[in-house]
Amino acid sequence: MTIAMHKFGTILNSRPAGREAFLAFRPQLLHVLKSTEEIILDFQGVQVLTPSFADEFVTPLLEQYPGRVSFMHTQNITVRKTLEFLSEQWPKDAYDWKRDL
Amino acid sequence: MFFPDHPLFQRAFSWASAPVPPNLPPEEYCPVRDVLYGRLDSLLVSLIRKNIPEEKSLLLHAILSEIGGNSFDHNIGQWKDAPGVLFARTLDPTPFFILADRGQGIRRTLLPVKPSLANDEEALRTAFLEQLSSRAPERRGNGLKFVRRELLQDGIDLFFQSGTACYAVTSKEESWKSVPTSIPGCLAVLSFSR
Repeated sequence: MTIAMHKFGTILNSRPAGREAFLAFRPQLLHVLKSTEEIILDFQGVQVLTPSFADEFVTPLLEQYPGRVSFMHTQNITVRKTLEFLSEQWPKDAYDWKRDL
Repeated sequence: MFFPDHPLFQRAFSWASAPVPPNLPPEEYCPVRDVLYGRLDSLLVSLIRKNIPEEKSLLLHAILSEIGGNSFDHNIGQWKDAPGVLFARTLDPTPFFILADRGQGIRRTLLPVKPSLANDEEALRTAFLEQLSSRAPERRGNGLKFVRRELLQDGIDLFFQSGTACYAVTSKEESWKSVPTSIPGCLAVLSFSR
């Protein structure tokens, strides 16, 4: 499953918006729960990502689906720096950077 | 760079520190989060039109979002009087940006989860240096650590005051000090050379 992050907005900077996005999307992840399908977060088209938004959206995904989440199109400076910053707190085997870093 | 004599700073400092908040120009007052974020999005367009490098503009937006968002996250239901933040900015000749709130300030925000905090400076150091959320057990407390790290890497300057404690980053060098005039909430000034 690929989640096109820009569909939540090109500026992903608010903690409430991150929480709301996660809660709204969570039902679509239910079938993933029963499989081993990978969850790809695609940041293409995202202009701004902050730790506040990512902490509410990405961190819970990693907690619920450890080892099955990967990131792509992370070249944007705020996407890259936010994910690098938060990844210091995430278990090393909970995510995959390899797609474009 | 820090502009204590600039009229924008004077007005922000006065609003943040006065016992009763003076009226602000409507374009500087953001009573709710959505107003602030709308103005930050508008700022992004202005920065790019002024030929500020895109990466610096995006990073500045993220930093302002984190600092401004903190005001709303940590003061909901706790405003001293006027809710929300002041957001003032100028792009010429030197871009600088001010955020201020009349909230409870860093020390009062952190005291419930770190009762040992002895003063404003200790609280400010905790906010910028330690992974500690004032909304435990919620997972928070990343915003100002992220801000500090990016300022030290990317050459955006900061002056930040809460209570009598000040933290500054100038040309990637950081410093801490206390000042005589207290601000109950928080005030932040960001700037960079063009």
